[in-house]
Amino acid sequence: MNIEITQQADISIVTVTGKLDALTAPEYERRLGRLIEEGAQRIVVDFGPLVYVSSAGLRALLNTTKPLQARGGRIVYANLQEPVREVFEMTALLTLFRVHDSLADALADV
Amino acid sequence: MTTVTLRLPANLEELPAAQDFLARQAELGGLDPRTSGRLALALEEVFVNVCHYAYPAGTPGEIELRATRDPGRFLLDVIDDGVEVDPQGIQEPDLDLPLERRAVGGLGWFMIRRLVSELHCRRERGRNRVSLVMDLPADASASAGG
Repeated sequence: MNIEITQQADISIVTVTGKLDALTAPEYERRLGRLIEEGAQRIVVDFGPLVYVSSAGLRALLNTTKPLQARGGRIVYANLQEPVREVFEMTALLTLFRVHDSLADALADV
Repeated sequence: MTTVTLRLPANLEELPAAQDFLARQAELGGLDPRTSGRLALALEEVFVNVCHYAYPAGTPGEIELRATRDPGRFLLDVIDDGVEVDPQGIQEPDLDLPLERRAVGGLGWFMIRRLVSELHCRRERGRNRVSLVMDLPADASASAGG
């Protein structure tokens, strides 16, 4: 997994590449947790290059989304590929999270 | 019917080796990428459970993978010698809860049940055996030779 964070005005765009699994989820949680601790309030996570997510990955998403939203921040997920979308759908995260098909739509909603 | 076995230390670091083994066997078994991907995900969920819960902390354990190519189906057994696990006793997560009340754990077995065609969990001769079964479309099983 690779995580790239870029800043567009006050929006942090986090691009995640590869697999979000039991081995990589702790790193994702650490990076996002640090971003939120540093004061990020508007985050777009671009999952375009993400090919796989397991329950360990979902736990990392819940562990970062919940505290951000609890403090009034917004996080939007974009560009879910089919295997990732299927897992979101299966676990009802597709309706629980803000999810968009394109980065442009996600940026407009965050 | 062809069965191929791999034994690995019950250690999270071995997850890529387990999934590489499965990917190779699934390819030989004629699984399409989507079915193979779903089985790889189910394997991770079982593998991680064994690594976390089967053996006492600090005690080395082993995981055995058995991939069986049958006409019409592909079977992956995940076997360990650890403490008895009863997935039936694990409560399903409540997916209707709002985000702030949604539990962050408990999705593993829930996902496994939905990813595979059949799931069987047995205790046999002091070992846990989780069988993940994928049904194959008729054309895939016809083209997958032994």
